Amino acid sequence: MRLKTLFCFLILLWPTISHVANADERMDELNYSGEDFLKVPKRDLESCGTLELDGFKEKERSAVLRRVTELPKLTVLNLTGCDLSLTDENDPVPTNVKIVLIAGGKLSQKTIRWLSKFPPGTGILFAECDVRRLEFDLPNIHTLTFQDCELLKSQIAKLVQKHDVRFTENTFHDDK
Amino acid sequence: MRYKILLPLLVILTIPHTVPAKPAEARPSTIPAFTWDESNEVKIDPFFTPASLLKCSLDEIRNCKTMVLWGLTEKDRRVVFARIQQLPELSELQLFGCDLSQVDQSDPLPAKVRHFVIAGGKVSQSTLRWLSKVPGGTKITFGGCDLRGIEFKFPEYTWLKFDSCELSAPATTELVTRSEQVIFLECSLSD
Repeated sequence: MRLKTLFCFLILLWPTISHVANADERMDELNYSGEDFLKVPKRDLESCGTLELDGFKEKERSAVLRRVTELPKLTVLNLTGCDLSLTDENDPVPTNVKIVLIAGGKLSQKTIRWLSKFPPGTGILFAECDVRRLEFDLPNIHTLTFQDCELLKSQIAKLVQKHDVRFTENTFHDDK
Repeated sequence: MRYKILLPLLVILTIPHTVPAKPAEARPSTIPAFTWDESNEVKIDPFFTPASLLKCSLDEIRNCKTMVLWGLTEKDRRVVFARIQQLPELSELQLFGCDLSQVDQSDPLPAKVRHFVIAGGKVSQSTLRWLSKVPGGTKITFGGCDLRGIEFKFPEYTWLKFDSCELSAPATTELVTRSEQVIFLECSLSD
């Protein structure tokens, strides 16, 4: 009889037990604006594996990037429509990130200097970005992808010689 | 009595147990992926030399969808290509260490092949003229090929991948600006 009762309890408690057991395995995919991201309690971000930040402003930059580095499981960072023009090598980078996606927003040579601090093995994807004036001095970065971007024709050979590169549906301009 | 206990237990067990994570907005994946085969399945493709391919009866290979051909020489070219033409299901053709330098636009292209892999061997401008007959949407991978001095004129919607190849810088620029998608892995360029 005791065994039967124990068995019933185990079954009833299984949802809780299994949730705790799987907590370390969970990798969440989260999506926030810069403002919302700063409001989320830290414990809600602990299992975040993929983070999409949708449009943070220059005034939120330092706090947002600092918080990004505090996510222990983050491997994919997607920055959509973010002003990264003033982000530079003095800003922190998350150390476990394997893929950085930059979609739209504002970029500058400072942004490239920030990206150059990401660890070796990081892949960077630029989507819908105008990168014509940028020098891709990214010795640590092995793989780059340009999708729906605007580039100069003269950038192609330089990129191919230094990196593994994927070009998808870009617009190429002659140098002036 | 047993059923009275069992039924509520069954109901409890059918309720989803894990707390759902806050979902990100639905959007197509834009994560860089340098592979076209995302199935992660281990597959063993039929592997032939010209001699073994010609020895097989057509019935044995009629349903072949992917073929790896190793070491084609110029003397076997026409008869091997004629045999490949007879494979109605063939959608991927991998040519390893093949002499394709004399292949040209008068040689037939297998009608349904939408992925060519050319690894090593000999490639010339006439090989490229042969390959440029592919329909839009075809994927072509070059691996370990010396493509210096070769110009590329593929249909606009061809997807190209160059892995460990040597290319001319001007031809590369021309190629990238004309193609929908091009991938370069470990390539070196010359002027």
